Amino acid sequence: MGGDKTDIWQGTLALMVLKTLETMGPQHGYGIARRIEQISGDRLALNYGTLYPALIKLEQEGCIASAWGVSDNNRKAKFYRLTRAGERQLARAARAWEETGAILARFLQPERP
Amino acid sequence: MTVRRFWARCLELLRRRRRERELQAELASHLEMHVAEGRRAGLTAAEARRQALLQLGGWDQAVEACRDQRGWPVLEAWARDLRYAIRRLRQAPGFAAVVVLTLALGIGVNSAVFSLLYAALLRPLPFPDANRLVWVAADYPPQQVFGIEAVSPDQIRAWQPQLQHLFRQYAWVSRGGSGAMMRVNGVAMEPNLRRASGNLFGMLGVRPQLGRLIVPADTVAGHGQVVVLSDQFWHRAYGGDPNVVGKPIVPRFGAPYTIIGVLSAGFHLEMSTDLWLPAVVPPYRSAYRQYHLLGQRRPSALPGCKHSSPRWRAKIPSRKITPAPLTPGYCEPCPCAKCCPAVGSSRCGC
Repeated sequence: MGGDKTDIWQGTLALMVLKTLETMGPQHGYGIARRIEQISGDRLALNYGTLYPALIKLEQEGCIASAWGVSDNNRKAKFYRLTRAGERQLARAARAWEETGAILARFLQPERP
Repeated sequence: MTVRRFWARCLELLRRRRRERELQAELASHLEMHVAEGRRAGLTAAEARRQALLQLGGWDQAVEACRDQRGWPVLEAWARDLRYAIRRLRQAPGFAAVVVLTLALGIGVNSAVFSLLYAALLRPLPFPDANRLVWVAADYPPQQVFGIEAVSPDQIRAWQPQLQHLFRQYAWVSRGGSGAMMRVNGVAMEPNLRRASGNLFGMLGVRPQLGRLIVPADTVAGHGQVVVLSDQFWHRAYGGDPNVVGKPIVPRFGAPYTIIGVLSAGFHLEMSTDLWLPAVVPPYRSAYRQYHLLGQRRPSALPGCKHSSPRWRAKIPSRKITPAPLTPGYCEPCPCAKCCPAVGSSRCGC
């Protein structure tokens, strides 16, 4: 992995997964991983091995549901989709992150005279 | 961890094989797609696979990370250890038997000794402020009666200043064990009698389950013809009759007693007693050591009263307070005047 890529912050991966599923609809693990990398403009170093535990955790929490299906190029794959609880969780988490970002931005901006 | 996730993990324990299969299949499908994309980008099959595995962080590592999320890995490891232990013990039955026997004996002896010690030393008395309750005994050559030295009405009267100094309240109860022929519910019997001072039940916080218990007014001479039944005797002689209060018990000699109440079932003081009668208050003169003296210590009186004299000492293990040697008519109080304001006064009884 490139040294200049940013590692994923703890806890943000779940949010990215939820947002990806909201935008793209049902998607398999590999698709989610590729999408996250694309959206970040390949600036994120995503270890695919950490994605699957995160998916399991989200499924256990009821934010996503899974079912086996067939991918675009006819491969058997497990597809994940967002549940109602997942939509609510996504809204909540997104709001929290926006707030955090806004607060940090105030700190980092030079004070106006 | 959310409640939902907790239950999800518990349920997964039941479907371990299936989820393991699914996990392998999912990761295999992921790898396949990644390799296919690598091939499309022009890599050799081996190189594409190598890169895909690299970005997965290693096959085994990925599988293991997923397993840690599912079920309860700690519990499952524990169950595996347990199964291993059982297997090994089965292979060596003799050793297993010795170990089990040793443990069983050890635990058995331990709990037996503990229950003995608990009953004898540790269990608090079933009375309020039980840790301040003491038997009071005289320090003369011991006349042991059921483990407690008995005192006479003369002694109780003579010790009054010290008792009042040491105790918030004190009460006495006859040694018991004496029976008397009586006609109870139409039947001649010989119940066990004990006499209690008027404040005994109040001090011990005992409640009647029927009627009332002995109160100080009952111990005034001439009012003493009342009796309280023990729960056991109430059932034995009256079959638990709820209308027993007010009925008479006729002794062979003297006036009949009137039943005023029934004690609660849990009450027990040293020995079983059928009938409780009021003990008439000293001072009437008697050197007959017929009473046990019970005191409820003042919170600060012992140990460590700052005026404390060596003549007053508490034997904590036996929960006994031993006053100075006394003979009837002679009072040797705590020599500290602050401690015993009654010294020399008429109240002292010297």
